[in-house]
Amino acid sequence: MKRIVTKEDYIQSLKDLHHVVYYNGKRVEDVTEHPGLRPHIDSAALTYELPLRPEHEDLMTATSHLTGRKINRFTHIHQSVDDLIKKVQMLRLIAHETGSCFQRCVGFDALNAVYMTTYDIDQKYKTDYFERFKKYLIYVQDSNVMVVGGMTDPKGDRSLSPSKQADPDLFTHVAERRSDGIVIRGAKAHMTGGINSHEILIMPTQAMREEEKDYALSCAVPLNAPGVVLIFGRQTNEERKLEGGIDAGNPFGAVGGEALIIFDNVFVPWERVFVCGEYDMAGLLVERFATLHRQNYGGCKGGVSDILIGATALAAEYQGTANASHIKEKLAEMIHLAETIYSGSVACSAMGYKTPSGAYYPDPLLANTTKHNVTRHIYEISRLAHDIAGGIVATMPFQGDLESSEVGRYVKKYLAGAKGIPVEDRIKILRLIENMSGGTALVESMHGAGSPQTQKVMYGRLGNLEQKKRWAKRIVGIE
Amino acid sequence: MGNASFVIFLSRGDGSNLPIPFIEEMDKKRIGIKYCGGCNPTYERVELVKKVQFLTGERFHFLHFDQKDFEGLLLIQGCERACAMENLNPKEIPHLSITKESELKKIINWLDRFVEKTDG
Repeated sequence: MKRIVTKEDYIQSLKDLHHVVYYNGKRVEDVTEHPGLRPHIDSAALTYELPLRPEHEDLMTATSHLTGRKINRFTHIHQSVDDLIKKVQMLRLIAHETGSCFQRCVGFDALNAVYMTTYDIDQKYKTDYFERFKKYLIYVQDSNVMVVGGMTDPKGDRSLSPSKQADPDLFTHVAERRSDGIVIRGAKAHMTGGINSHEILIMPTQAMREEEKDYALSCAVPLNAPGVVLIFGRQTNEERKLEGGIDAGNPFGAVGGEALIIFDNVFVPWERVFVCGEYDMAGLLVERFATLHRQNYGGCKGGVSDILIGATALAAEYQGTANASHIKEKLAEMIHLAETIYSGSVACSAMGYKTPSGAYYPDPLLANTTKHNVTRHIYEISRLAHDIAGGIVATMPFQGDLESSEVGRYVKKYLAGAKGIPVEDRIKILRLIENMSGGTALVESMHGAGSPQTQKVMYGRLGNLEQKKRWAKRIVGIE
Repeated sequence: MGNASFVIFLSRGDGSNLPIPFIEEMDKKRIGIKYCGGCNPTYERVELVKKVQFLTGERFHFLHFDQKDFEGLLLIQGCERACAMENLNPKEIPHLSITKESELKKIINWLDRFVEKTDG
């Protein structure tokens, strides 16, 4: 693949990919031309555009520790605490440009997690996964392709382990081993950026037992490989994207645009296989990916919240309520919550440390705390946005009404707010609030990078409760 | 001041019109621009640099920091944290670090003094 440098290169690379994508039951020949998919593509495209701007180069680029070449930070392996902090700073800045998910961080975290863990697997089992992975990583860095982080399996009956499922394909697994590679079967769900990426880096979805060796799998698959099928996930108000215009709310879509990716007997050559059967190490890979991904949320959701807060403040100005003390108080609360989640991302990065592979890793307890805060605070930030913006967010007329020769004058007359503010501007801002604060956007904040219960599991593991009890006893003199 | 061929007057944007000598290309001072990463800037940094370029006319070459071949350096910081200063040795190159939009005049004054100093 030729190196992708600009947005135009990226768009062309997707046109040239010819991967098998379905949208509402129909095959999509060119994802870049589909109105339901193009907003997500434009959002991801900023991860290509922004590194070329001098005012963002410091955060958007890094130097490859493997080749010494300047690379897109999304393909970088963290080499320092500074890298960890710059990652979350970068995520916040991109969110200021999109007000939405830009998808590429999942693959970024998968690259780092697999890098660290293949090193450890080689140390234990004398395999050569690490060297194999570094070669793949150099390809990713040099070509600047976009990689999906392929963790979540559909999972079927959650009360049963992978090997006990009625259908073994409900967890992605090795179906056949050959001399030149493996054949895999299964699917990955909720794959952010799936339809507009070039590769998927598959990882196991949970810790595995010995009887689940075939599910302890990590490999890289081009998304146009034979047998790979992508089905786009319908979002709240999906059809708004097809209309475009004001009622779509955010031209960059809501959240990332997720896909169900199916692997129907897909062949993977050995040079792209990085974990195959080392079941006792699957849990470590999952935990590392989860931590790296939870680290992000204060950065990206902090940045997205900045946009929602700005839109809410404008909504108040446009309707003449900005000077009310309760409005100011609510905006202050929104800022507090946004900076709280951001500070969590910074904290887990600042307390990061070097792993045996040489790559740096954020503090897992603080990363989980950050994500857990996001699952609550985004809902509260959205609630406050609704409170301030008013019921009009839910009841506005169509753009078609605004532009209607028959009723447009009524819309302009009765949706007027503060003097001098065009009604169209008021509607645009309210639609942005609607898009960013409901449905899919909220669910993604809840479940992206792991549901709240998974963070609580980590509190149990990392919360140091026994030591806390000892300290309490010591203070009051209990032996 | 170098090989000035003629003098033109350029509005400074603050009501004053100051003579800006026409400078031959080779006499233009080379000023590097380094931005912080822009994670959460409090003002539009690129717009500030454009204002500086407009107000200083043709007296300077403004270069990307990567180009290295500059005589002075402007650090355009989005906030007080001043991340663009990291990994720079302040003694190595004359520089000015800006963290606020209101420091525009400070930049112009620094550039004026920079020219006076380096021309001797």
